[in-house]
Amino acid sequence: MEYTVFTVLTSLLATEDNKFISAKIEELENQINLNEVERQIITDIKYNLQLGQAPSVAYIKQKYSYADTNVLGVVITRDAIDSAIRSIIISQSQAQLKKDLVTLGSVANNLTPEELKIKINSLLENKILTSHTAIPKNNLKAMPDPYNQLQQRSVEGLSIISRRIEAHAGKAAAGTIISILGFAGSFKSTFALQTAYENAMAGKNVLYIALESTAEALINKLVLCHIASTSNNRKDLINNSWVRDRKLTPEQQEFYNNKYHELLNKISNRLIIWDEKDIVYNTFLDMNDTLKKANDLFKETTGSELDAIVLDQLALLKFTAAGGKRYNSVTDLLNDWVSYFRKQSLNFLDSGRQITIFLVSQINRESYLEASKPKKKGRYDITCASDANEIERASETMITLYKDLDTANTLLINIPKARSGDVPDNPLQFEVYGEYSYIGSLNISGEGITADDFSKDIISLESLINAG
Amino acid sequence: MLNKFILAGKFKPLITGPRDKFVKKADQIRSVIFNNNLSDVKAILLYGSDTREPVYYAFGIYYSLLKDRVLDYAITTGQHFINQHFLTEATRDLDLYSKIYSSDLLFISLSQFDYTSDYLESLLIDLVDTRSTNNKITIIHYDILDTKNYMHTTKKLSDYFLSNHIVIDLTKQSKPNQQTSNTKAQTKKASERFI
Repeated sequence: MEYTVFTVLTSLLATEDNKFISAKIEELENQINLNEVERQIITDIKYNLQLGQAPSVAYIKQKYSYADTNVLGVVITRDAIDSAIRSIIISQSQAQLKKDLVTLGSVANNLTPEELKIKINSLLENKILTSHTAIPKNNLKAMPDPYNQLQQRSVEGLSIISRRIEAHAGKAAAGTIISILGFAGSFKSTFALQTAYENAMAGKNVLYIALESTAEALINKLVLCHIASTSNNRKDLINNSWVRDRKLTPEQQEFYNNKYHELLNKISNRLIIWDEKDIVYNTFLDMNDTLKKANDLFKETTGSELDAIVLDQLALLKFTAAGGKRYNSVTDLLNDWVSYFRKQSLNFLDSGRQITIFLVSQINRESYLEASKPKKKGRYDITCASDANEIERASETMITLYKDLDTANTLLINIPKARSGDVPDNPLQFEVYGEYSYIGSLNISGEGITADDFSKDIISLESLINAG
Repeated sequence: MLNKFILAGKFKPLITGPRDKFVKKADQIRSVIFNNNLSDVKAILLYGSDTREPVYYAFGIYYSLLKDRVLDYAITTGQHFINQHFLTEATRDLDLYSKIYSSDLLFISLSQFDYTSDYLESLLIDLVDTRSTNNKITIIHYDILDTKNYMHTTKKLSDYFLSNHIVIDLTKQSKPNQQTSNTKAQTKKASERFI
């Protein structure tokens, strides 16, 4: 049976339960496209509710008799009202979809492929197409060894550069978003690239989407990072500016090339770096297509599927059409992108598989100024993200980066949100070498010093004074 | 583990005067630190008659290594602190004033002849208390200019440090590398808090 809004309204009034009537009327207003008469009836009912008593069914039927198509006098029972509302929503969505398809068909010849994609994308937002009818499986089910199954998930998580970070945040598990946040010049891309590098070296398939930089520049940084992480002699390190200014000696050029090949060999196709000229990402459909291509490429070259995506960085998606809606602000649009990536992390390309997303994003100016005060140095809080407030909600872990201006080569890393861990009392202090595109201690002998070295005079004060 | 160059660079601004003399003096302080277990101490009152920079340098390096973190530090004098205290927010050196309360390490220099105010003592005690509560280390260096009566002039301050923290008279320290005490500061009796 096809229900009308009028029937639902009169059936609601028949329950004589003011609270129930109010709640359902609000639902109708939010979810159903109402015509003028239906709106007028609702206004009437709400006015009477404000006076303390909903109008009677007879009063409404008499006053709006011209709108009453319910000649058989059908009354929907209280239990069936939700189903009736749902049936109206579906019926309206079907009608809207038909109308939109006809409209699109009539103008299709005049649209560019790009415009066509946006229109099709917006059609996919129709409730009929987004509703899922299959009954999902209950995840609370019998398992032979539930503890080990849980452990398996955390063991399989991805690395976040350092065990010191993982001691607080845990590993980057599949099905989660890890946000990497920092103000301009806080080594966000260095952190993101190193995360991709270390995970790819550990056998995970990582797609790095570089929207801020070119793939060429990133690959150079990756080689420098590889050199820094594998060298144990400072003389071997290659400074980014030497490459930029073409100052490498023939020996250094050879060393650079050898390290490039070594990197390629060790990573063995587990890291894909695509920049904006390589991919199309204007809409969710475009991004789906890009992710599918990356997944296919991994399957072809490594035999396994994509494990993680690094998006560097979120703000640069602001010129896209995303879901094809009319967005009121850039924040709304970026929030939609965060939701998109959250969905991908939980159900990658609707395959039911979970992946990890590393989302690089900017910190707002106010938070940066606050974190620059001596009292709060580097201690960003959870509200620091400037691009999208959805980041706070969607992220499993938020990692903030702050370049310490008082101490050379020092980065303060805070973890204001760690759903599977704890927030450190003080930001963690890390060495950072922008010139070598590397975060963390260099593996160079004789450069590290501990309290023990100092107490036993293994490293004398004189050598320290002279090192300064 | 800290990087030697980053640590050395952080405290480099404290290096003054001839390098060999600086090294010698800093090494003496290093011996004082290791001859007396200061790892749990949050505030120290030092009496000294020599340049204070090597003292600050040795303590800065020691506490950074102990906490496995290159510590931020600030340096001020008692006079400067009390002057700042009486200024309004508009005229105060807010950056330094904020660092006095929040830096990991604070070095305060007091000079015997400038030291004329009971109020300064109260302010310093309050400051040390606040910082200790926040787990921050404060080192006060009292510069002895007249070898007589210096303990008497600072009675209130030294009494407070003897009851709560530790007092070290650098002019009476034994030769380097002679172990004098292994007792933890928190368990010391008042008489043991004077080294």
